[in-house]
Order: sequence, then structure tokens, then C-alpha cells
Amino acid sequence: MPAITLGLAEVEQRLRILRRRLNWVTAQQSTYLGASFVTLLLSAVIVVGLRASASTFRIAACAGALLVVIVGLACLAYARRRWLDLQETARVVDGRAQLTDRLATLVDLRLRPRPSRLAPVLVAQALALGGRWQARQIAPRRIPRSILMFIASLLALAGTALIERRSVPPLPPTAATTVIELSSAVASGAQRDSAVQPGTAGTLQPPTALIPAGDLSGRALGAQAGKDQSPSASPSSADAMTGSSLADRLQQTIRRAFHGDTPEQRTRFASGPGNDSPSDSTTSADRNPPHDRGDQPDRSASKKADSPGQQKDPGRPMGGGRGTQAQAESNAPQNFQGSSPRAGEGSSPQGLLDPNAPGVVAGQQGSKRFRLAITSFLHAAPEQAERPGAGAWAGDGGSAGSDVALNNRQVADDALRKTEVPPEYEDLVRRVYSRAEP
Amino acid sequence: MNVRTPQEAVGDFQAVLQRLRDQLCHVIVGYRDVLDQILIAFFAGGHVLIEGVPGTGKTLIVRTLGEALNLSFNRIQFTVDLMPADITGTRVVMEENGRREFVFVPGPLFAHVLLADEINRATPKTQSALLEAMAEMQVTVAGTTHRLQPPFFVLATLNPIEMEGTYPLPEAQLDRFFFKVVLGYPDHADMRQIIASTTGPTLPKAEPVFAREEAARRVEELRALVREVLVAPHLEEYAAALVRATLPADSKFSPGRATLLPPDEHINRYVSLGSSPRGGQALLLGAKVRALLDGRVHITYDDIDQIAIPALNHRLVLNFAAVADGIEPRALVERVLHAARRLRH
Repeated sequence: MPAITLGLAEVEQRLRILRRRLNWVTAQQSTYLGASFVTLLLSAVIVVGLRASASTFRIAACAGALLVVIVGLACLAYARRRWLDLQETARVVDGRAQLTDRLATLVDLRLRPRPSRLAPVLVAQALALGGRWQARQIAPRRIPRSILMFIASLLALAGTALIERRSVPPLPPTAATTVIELSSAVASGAQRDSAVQPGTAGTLQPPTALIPAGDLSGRALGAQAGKDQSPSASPSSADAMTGSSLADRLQQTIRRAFHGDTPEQRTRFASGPGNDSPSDSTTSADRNPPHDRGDQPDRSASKKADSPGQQKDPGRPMGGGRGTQAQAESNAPQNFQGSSPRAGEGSSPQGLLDPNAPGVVAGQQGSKRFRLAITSFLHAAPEQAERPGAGAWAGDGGSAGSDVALNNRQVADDALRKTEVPPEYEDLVRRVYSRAEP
Repeated sequence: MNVRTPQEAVGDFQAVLQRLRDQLCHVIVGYRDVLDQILIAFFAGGHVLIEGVPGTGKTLIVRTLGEALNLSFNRIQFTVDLMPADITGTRVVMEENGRREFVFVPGPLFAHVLLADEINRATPKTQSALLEAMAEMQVTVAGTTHRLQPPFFVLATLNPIEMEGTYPLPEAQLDRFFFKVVLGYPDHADMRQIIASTTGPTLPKAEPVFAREEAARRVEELRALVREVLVAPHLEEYAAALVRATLPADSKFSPGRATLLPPDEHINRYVSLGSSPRGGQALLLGAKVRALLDGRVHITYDDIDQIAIPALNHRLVLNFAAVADGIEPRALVERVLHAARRLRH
């Protein structure tokens, strides 16, 4: 029956065109949906990287990576479920063109061993109704609406550039030196402790960077704790450290990309070039911008120029505007990252060991590690800035902290000494502060 | 009338069906749905069981159909003392040329259209005499098989009242009926028209659609055309899913394989036996006739849905819990149809 064959061939040809178009729309939709979700996820990770602590960011990054995999699989499943073969295409077209299953019945004719003698009637009817199921009507060439979602997600991603990173006050050299010495003392104490105990190797190295107060539970302490571990540490902990390092590097990259510097940079600036390890110094040219970045636009500063109570670029030493900066900081609320706000004034010694403060976390179980965040010295910054010659902290190359005197408030602040210290740390703390005595 | 092209065949089918409808409606007042179902079953090659109260025109419908088709018509009034030989025929001793020999005398079963009136009043033995004739279109008397002339159409009636002394039809016989239609009382307008038209000096009479000599052949041609109607595979799956959905999940006769429709709670609770594959055949054949009635050469979901209730409700065997709760088979079939709507997309 050549008439039927020709008619069926024409019907199938048109259905194939429709199938290609419908499947292309499905592919676009799944791609846009997946890309939208991934972009939104990326935006969320960036926001977390800018605003949250390292531990939170680490969790968010891992969850994000997992979600990306899930979204990818879901998009594949979505496309697979909506992918049409010829029979399904005929059914879809029947529904859209109100052909009451004519095309689906026709497509099945090929598989029948003996075609019905009524088949030519059906072919003729389907072709006569061809105006209803033209390709431009059933599957017009147009961009699917899901692209709007993708554009919206891109806007959200672009909007993350407007999010301000959580502010951290600038660290004066004195304070940095104090903390570094403190950390060194803690490390040496821990090293001695580990040397005393058999089976533990004291491989602790002095930290070369100031741990940001908000990141005390994050990379630095995590790495330090990891160094405190013996070589017989389990592989899983090593893997965790690797993941942690990746997450931290990602967070630093995000912060660098969005705000130009990282907490490490600020620490290096504060502690001076002498404290940089050789390995750090080799990469500092790449990773750390030059210290006097006067030619670079300061987005944060320009954006917040009208808000006196807030900090300008926290990692950058102030030049001519120090008086204004100092005044602003003196009026600024205590919002030091990871520390108890009450500890900033030095008048409330309880705040230093506030158990709820994320930066003041003393190990309740292990006696090998302990963390102590001292933030009261941060208030010395304005006064240090007002002192002539105090600006030499950034680049004089000397041993920062050895020749810089504490301010009066810090000297007068003996809160730490009066604070109750757990008995097992008492000797250690006493040793630390005996070294810090002028 | 020689039909040359398929398009003409479809048009001829529509024309014949329309003339039959007109003739039936000329005599029968109201009951258009019932008449359509009877015509569908007739052209699908099935048999119909009509359940209705007395005086609603059951016998008139069958007789009018026989007259309109110009086919031979017989009526059997089933009673408790009716014997199988009374309907199939028997051998009698006849003398011819001085010789006596047994000669088969066909019973009333040998007709194109048979009305089995109040079939549930006969004993099961007599009822079963119809089984072979309905399924095989043949009867066997004294070891000799006699073919029935096609078309053969049995239209049995059931009286839902006066159940005392009746014998409910066995499930095997029920399953052989293509449709079971229920004839209720007519509404007020139809009642007035019935009274007026049947009490005048002349009674309405149906005119034959076919000539006597070609009636049987034409009916067979139309029946063959019905089987040529095209069915899409997903509609075959739909019909099969409907039939499978009437089977209770815990039945020992139903395999526990996954079905397209989830098991229905009411079906599991109230149904002892579901529909047989004959129910599925009835669904598709009836849908094909409906499609031809609409001038289509392919069936749709709606065709199957329209056929489902008369095709399936008498095939569900309900248990005592259904009787106690007043559950009707029709309600269960409607539930299945409702659940099957999700298969349409």
C-alpha cells in the first residue's frame, strides 16, 4: 500500500522534527534549572565564606559540593524522564493538538504485522489535520522560561559582590606580637607536654600567622591541633585536615576575590615581614598585594565612607586618616570576631573566658590543647595609632613587640591574671604572662 | 451494497447505526443510552443481559431490534420447569417413506436474535444450555453438533424482584454476557409519551433497515469492520490496567505482579472475583464500536471509559461485606475509572 506508506512516512517525518524540538527544549530546561540551582548554591557559599566562620564555611562548602552532585543527578533524571521517543512524541502532540490519539495510533501501525484496512483513513485524517500539529505551533523555537530563573540566579550571584565581609579590626603590631608570643608559648608548652608523654611527637611549629579571632575554631587552630597530633594519627583525621585546608583556601580565595585581602595578610602585615616563613615569603608576592596599595580602589572604604561607626579596610594600615579612624573606632561597638564583647574593655574579666564566645574555647576534655583569645589588646589600636612612630610596626623589620610598650590600659588591665584558670593550665598561663611582663 | 473504500465503509456503518437508532427510538420511548449499549454489544458480537423491573419494555426492545434488523427472532420464557431440550431442540421420531427415524428439530435457540426472558427463573441446567450456544455459536444434541447461523445475539432479561424461586446466574454464564444494562423506570416526560403512544389505535412499528435476504450478511460485514478499528498500544495498556484493577490483591487467582494502578482498598475489601480477560475484550470491542459511531477509525480513552461500567460491573463478584455495606459493583468500577485517570498522561 504505497499510499499508506507515503502517508505514514510523512507523519513520521513530521513527528521526528517535533521530537527533536521537544527534546531540545527539555535539554535546555534541565540545563537552565541545574545551572540556576548551582549558581544559587555558589552565591550562598560565597555569602557564607564572607560572613561566616571557617567551620561554618567548611560545612557549607561540603554541603554545597554534595548538593551540586545531587542537582546534577536530578537534572539528568529530569531530562531522562522527559526525553521523548517517537511514540511518546506522538502522544504529546496528540494531547497538544487535540488529535485524540490519532498520531499515537498511527505510529504503532509500523509494528503491527497486518495493517488494518482502516489505516488509510486514519492517515488521511492525520494529514488533513496537519495544520493543528505544525512544528511551529506545537514546539515553537523559543527560549524556555527557565532561563529567567537562571538570570535571576546570576543576579543573585552578582549581588554577592555587594555583601560586606564581617569586619575585623586592624591589629597593631603590639597586639600581634603579644598573640604570637602567646601562641608560641602555648606551642612550646604543648611541645614540652608532648615530649614528656611517650608516643607523642612534639612537631609543633610556631604559628606564623595570627589566628583571626573568629577563626579560632577554624583553620589555624585546626592545623595547630593537627600538628599537635602524633604521626600515628589516623588517616581519617589527615583526610579531614586536607578537606579543611581546601575549604579554608577556598574561603580565603573568596575573601580575596571579593575584598582584596585575607586574614593571613592582615596578620602578616601586623606581625611584620620578619615573621613570615620562607615558604610564605616565596608566595607572598603572588598572594599578598603590596602593602601600600594606594593605587588600588578601596571598595570597602569608599562604600562605608559615610558610616563613621564602622571600620574601613581592616587589613590596611591607616595613613592620614588615622585620627578619624581612631575616633571612629573609639565610638564603634565592640564586635570583635569570635571574642566576647565584654572582654574588649578589659573591665570584665569574665568575658575573656566566656564559654559561649566562639573564640574563647578551652578544651574541656583534652589537656593537650587549649585556646585562649585575648582581645582586650585590640583597643590599644587607636592609642597606638596616635603615638608618633607607631606606624613603624608595619615595615621596620625589627622584632615587633619587643620594643613596643603596652598602653596604659593594657598595663593596668590585670584581668587575665585575676581570672580563674583551670588548674591544669595555671602553670602554663603563668609562664606565658611572666614572659609578657615588660 | 458494495462498500469499496474504507472511508465509505465507515460512513456506511454510521448510516446503518443511525437508521437503527431511529427505528428503535420510534418504538421505544426514552432509554437512549440503553439502546446505544445494546447496539454496541450487538455489533461487537456480544450478548446483553438486561436487568429491569417488569413493564419497562425489555421484551419490546428485543423484538423491535429483531424487526429493525430484519433478522429471525425468537423468544423463550424461562420457567422453573423449562428443560434444555426445550431451547436447544431435540430429536423426534419421524416417519418418512415408511421408515421411522430420529430427526433433529431445532429449538428456539436457532434464531438470529433470541430473547431469554427472565432467565433466572430457569434451573441452572437449563441456563447452562445457553453457555455453549453463546460462546461457541453451536449446540450439541445427542452427540451431534449443530452450528448456529450468524449473527447470533442473545438478549436475556433479569427480574430483580420476586427473587423467591429463582436461580441466580452462575458467574461463568454472567461472564459470557458482553454487557449488563440496567433498565429503570422512565422519567415523567418519557412516561407520558409511552402512555400516549401505546394506547392509540395504531402501535408504532419499526421498519427494517436491511432486506431480509441480505440482513445477516450486512450485519456480519459491519461486525468485521468493527474489528478493523485501530487501537493505540497505550490504550490497550489502559484497558488491561482497568481489568487488572478490578482484581483483589489477595486473590489466589491473581498474580502478585506489579500493575499500572495501585491496589484499591475497596476492591480488596469487597470483591471476591474480578473481571476476566473477557472484560478487557469487551472494553476494546465496545470502544471500537463507539469510535465508529463517532466516525473515527481509532479509539480513545473516552471510548473505553464509556464502555467500562456496562462491560465490567456484572463481572465483579462481590463478597458478603459488600452486601452488608450496600456496595454496588458500579460504584467499584467508577472508583477504578477515577483512579485510572492518572494513566491518561
